[in-house]
Amino acid sequence: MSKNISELSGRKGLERNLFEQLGIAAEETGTPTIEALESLREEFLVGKSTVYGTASFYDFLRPENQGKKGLCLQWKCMPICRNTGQTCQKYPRISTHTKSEKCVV
Amino acid sequence: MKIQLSIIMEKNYSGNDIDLIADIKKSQAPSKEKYHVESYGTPILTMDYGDIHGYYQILKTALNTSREVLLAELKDSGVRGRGGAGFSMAFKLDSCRQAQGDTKFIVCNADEGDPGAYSDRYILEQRPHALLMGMIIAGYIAGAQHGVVYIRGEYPEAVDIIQQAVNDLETFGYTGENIFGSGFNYRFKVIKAQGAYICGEETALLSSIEGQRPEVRVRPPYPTQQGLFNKPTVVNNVETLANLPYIMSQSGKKFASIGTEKSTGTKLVSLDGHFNRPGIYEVDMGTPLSVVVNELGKGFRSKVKAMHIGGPLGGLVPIDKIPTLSVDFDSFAKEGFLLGHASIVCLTEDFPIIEYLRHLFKFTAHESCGKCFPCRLGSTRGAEMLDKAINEGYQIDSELFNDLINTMEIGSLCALGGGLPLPVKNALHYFDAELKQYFSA
Repeated sequence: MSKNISELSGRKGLERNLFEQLGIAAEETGTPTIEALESLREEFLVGKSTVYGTASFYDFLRPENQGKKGLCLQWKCMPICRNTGQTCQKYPRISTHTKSEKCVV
Repeated sequence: MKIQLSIIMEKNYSGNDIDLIADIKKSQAPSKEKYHVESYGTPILTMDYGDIHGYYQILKTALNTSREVLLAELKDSGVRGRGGAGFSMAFKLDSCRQAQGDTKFIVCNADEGDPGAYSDRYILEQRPHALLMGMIIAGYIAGAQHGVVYIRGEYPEAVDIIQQAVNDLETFGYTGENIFGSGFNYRFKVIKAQGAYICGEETALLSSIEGQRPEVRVRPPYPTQQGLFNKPTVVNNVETLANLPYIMSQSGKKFASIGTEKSTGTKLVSLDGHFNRPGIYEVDMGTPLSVVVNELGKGFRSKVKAMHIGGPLGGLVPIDKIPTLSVDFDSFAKEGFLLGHASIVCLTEDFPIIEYLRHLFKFTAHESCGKCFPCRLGSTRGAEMLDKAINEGYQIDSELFNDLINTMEIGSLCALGGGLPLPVKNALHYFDAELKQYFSA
């Protein structure tokens, strides 16, 4: 964490905060485009590593998870296969989240 | 004690609905799954607050009372954080109140990522105004004029409901400028998270809102001194904040009279699908765990050998320990467990503990922010050792393994790496017979 980036990010305030803008930039395709990241970098006066590093950190924003959706199944606490509707064979019990995993069955 | 509320059925998502998010949100798709909500003891969080205008009279009264009096009330209540650590809420608010700065924040940690936990989701979706009013009151006490609700991205409905509730408050004039003519200003910002378990850690959450990688920060300085955008910030869990309207309307002493001496009030417990009656149950602190398991959850659907209570970093409780535990911080700590968020995930008889341990290490390795090496490396090395033991008949050196988990426990910056060793130690202690074949003496 950088206190300097905290200050820079704080200058924009809460209403148009960098994190939310990254999420908005990802809405169309599931991951922000390079152009969108460049634009945010310029707007918020932060380095490339900040916006690129942030976008690649999150499951929802990461390019390799593009198109996947995460929904909470909670009390079941086990992933259900999207194709068969049965408990997933690969991850039969506890899931870290409820990210859609590629079906291996 | 008696059961006070009738069962309410709530909507839940099914894995088959995963491609129908838009329809689910518009309620076009029928919900197929349900869970129970019930209070056993004093209904505080599960209580229906009725008409919103009547309910917000609590806020009106609070804003016409001095901050010192409200803080004293909060201290009397003894309310502790419900997110896991059990830290005194009054202490946090007082610390923020005394910190220098014109801009301060109240951040609600609604990034409920613990597998098996959905009590925050219940409050967000069913009792949004208890949370929002709690945040305004907390802001008033701490001198903060901004409230941020950071909601887990996997709860799309909760995001919409909270945003709508905030819009309603603005329409009614219960938030914004000069609320109830008190001269106090307060504004909300709702932020949807993007899927990172570590953001449930308070300093990572603050970095996340700032648009940085959500890496854990070194403390001190604590968030109440330098938090969001380097300003004094109080971070509290949903359930903790939602208790404030009750405390302010009924008095801190009344809240303190519920539960035990050191764990006051009630606790929401979430039971998973291995119970005959999965659901959210509000119990007075100090309620025997056996009541939760047998009377509320109606026992297990299948043979269960252990329960993982309080999320992946909570304690792994063998079934025979149920009679000795009660739902409060101290009872769990005394027995070497952790109440945490009080979510209960069951491990069935046929599920190998060694695989469960491997899962815990893999979970931590996947979710580690990478800031500190005991967590970043330790979780990966642990997963590798267990993988090898399961797949290749490798015997793990016990001394090496103990070194690893002790290093993680002592050296990790936050509760992710620091908390993982607890269930691992519980497993090694209580399931020695099952695990000893994988470890060298």
